[in-house]
Amino acid sequence: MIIIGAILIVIFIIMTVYTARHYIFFWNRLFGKQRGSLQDMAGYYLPSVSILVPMRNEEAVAETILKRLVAMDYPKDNNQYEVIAIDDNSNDRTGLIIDTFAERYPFIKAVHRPDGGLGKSDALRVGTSLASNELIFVFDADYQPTRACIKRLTAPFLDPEVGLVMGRVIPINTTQSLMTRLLDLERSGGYQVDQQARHNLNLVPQYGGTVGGIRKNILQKLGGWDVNKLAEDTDITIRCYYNGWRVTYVNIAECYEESVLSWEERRKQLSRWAVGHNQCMLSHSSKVLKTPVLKWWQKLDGLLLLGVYMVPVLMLVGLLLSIVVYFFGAYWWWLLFAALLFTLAYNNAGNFASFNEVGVSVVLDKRGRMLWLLPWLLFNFFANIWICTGAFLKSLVIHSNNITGGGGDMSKLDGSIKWDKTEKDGLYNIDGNGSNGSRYPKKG
Amino acid sequence: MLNYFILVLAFLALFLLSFLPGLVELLRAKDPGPVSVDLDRDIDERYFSRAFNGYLSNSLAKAKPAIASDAISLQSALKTHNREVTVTMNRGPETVWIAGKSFKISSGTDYQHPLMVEGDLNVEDNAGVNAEVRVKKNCKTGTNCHFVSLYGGDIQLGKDNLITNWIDAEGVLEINNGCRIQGRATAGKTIMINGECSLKAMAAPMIKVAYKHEGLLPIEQEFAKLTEPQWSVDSDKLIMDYYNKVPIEEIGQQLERFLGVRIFYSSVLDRANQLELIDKALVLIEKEQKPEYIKAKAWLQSGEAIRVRGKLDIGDRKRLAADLIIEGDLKTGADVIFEGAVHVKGRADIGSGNFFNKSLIVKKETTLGENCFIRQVCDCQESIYIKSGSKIGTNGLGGLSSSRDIYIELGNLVQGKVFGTHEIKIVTKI
Repeated sequence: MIIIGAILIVIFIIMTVYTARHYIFFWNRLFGKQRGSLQDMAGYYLPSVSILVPMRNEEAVAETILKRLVAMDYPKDNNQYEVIAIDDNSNDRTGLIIDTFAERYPFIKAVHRPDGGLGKSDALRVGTSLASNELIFVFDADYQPTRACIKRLTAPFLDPEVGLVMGRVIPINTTQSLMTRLLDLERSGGYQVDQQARHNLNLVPQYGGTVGGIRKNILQKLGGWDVNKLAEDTDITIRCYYNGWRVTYVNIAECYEESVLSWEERRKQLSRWAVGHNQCMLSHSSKVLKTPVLKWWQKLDGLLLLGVYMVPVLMLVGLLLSIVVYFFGAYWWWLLFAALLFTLAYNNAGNFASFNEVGVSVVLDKRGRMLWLLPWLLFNFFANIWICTGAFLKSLVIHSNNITGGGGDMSKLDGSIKWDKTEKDGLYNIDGNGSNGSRYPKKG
Repeated sequence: MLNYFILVLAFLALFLLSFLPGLVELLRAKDPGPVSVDLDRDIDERYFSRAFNGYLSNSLAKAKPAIASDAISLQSALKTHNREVTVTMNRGPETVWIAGKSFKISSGTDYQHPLMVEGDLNVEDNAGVNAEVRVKKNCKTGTNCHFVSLYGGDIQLGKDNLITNWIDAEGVLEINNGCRIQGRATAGKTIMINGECSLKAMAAPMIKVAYKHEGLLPIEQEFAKLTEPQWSVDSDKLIMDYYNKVPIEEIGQQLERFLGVRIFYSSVLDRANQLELIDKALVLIEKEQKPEYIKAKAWLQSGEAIRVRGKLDIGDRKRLAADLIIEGDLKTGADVIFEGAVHVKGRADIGSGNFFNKSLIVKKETTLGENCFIRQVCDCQESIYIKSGSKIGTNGLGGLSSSRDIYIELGNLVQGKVFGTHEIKIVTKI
């Protein structure tokens, strides 16, 4: 019983730290000094850029993202702007769409990988080897960036300390289901408050694998994309961070995305993120602690970021132990910890961005009625506990068996930990007509 | 038992009650759409004037003749081909006065309505318009005039003018001594500032800050000293023949005789760099070995930048080949060359004639000595002080930005944008 009590106290302390962190973030976002990211100079610094768009069976959305990148407000002469569209072993019309654009626009390069399909990081590895420019940006196929997005994302690179930059992701298909509306809330909290506050406080905003960029030289010096990681974005974020390169967030570099529609898609997506994140936690935590370039609070934030997908797991363990303590506990103060843990659970763990952060983000975005949906995030909270606990167990299996391959060898495990591609329907493209309006013929 | 049952029911009722507003929003959605983003909006420093012009043009198409009700009748004031129309501005219906030809606002007159002039506009002393003004051709104002917003072809603001919103010229915008612009000043070609004044932000391919009065050379000649020399095949050959063989100053003197304009030390190195003459071996040495002038602990970060944990004091005529991240203050002597970008977490006190091939990003106060050249951007989270003779930006790209104030002495050149979160002050002497 003493051991259970000790575990409960440790979990309580960790939850308290996370809760305090979230409260600091939302306070900073509301009342603190908002640090810029050289956006006053956006458009006055135009380095050469390569944009990677990995695609696997993306016929529903490929045309839209390529149209957006063609329309991007950036000089396209002298190879200053290149788009590398990677057809990663698609078996639909994705390759045909890419080829059509590559024929029409000289700055678009079509890359076909018949032996691909091993995951995003592998596709990015190939794309990077073909990129000829100073900065590398990544966009997922279902994203729709603003015309000024690249100009806004390049501006922070004026600062030689900046290695990585991340823009804001905004779900576009919010009207489709309760799931998309709840994910919209989650995204708002995560970007509008959490990422911006971490940027303000000189901590570590996370590069999210899309709507962001990195210096090619630094990427190469750090060993490139790690194809053994399911979350190549977290991996490169943390590697940059403990090597002294700052990660910058640009709230005004906005980009629409299509959220997943069903709970099953959500489960697969979150499970992949959690496994990848936990991989990074297990391999990078000690390096974050040892690095000489970070202050102690920056190290703490790095560790908290790495452990964020452990929060639901700890919460589940804490809640279960609380019940045990309630019925078999010997001391009254154990009950107090149990009660506090339940309170913190509600405050802290919902969707990994605490509820107050989500609330503040909705206010900052001037969408008051969205606040009414805040309690409904409780469903996501319980779903997250379930999904992340499963993902944690998978991470332990992967780590203990030293399994490698970002979806290749890992898929040998049981087929459920392979690279699970998120399916999108492309109903919210810029033309508003979705994939049904496509003029590309069906393959085969 | 019943008590417990009531307690559970009460808890459930309160718990479920928290979901009720969400249910209402789901059933009768009032806020269902995504965060509103204009996907097609560009970054446009002249956005305000373009938006105003576009709005006005659209509104004029639907305009109705206005019923004259003002104390000052337009017809009596203008006596030319003029008309008044009522248009719907974004603040509501508004009477716009339209002058069909060139137009003069007499001294002491104070108009209250937006004004459109199809020709030139000439504003005499102590006059103004308390609304927006759009001039199709050129505009010239006298002393102590005031406007809310002003758009025109070429605009020449007289002394002590006040613009409470923005000013934008398609061509050249000339701002004279004592003017206060409480918003943005933008121009399609050049902004020329001829005396002490204050602004919020300015953007143009060329921003010339100088003083024009008796005893000094005409302004263009003054700036000929600062602008990039017109390099030719022969001048390039001269640099290639002598670079690394004779001192830079000597090459500069030869080029001065050859090109007939003043050549700065930094200009020679700048051109040598463009011609790829900068000694690559030296670059490698400086990357791999700690230079003697770096006293603090320093290391090469991922092979890309030198990180200095402490302050850095660099003597005259040193050259740093890599990107620099300095965790303390930076102080430099004269004619120091930074090949890479520089990030300073403390203050930056830059000596005269320094050359920054990329950017200078500083956390605390920045003082830039005379005759410096920053190829890209100088950004500072506190105030920036720029002494005379400096050149910032290249080919319309680059500029200055500060989270507080920017003080610029007369006799500087910026290509691109200047933005001070609080204010930009043009002063005779810092």
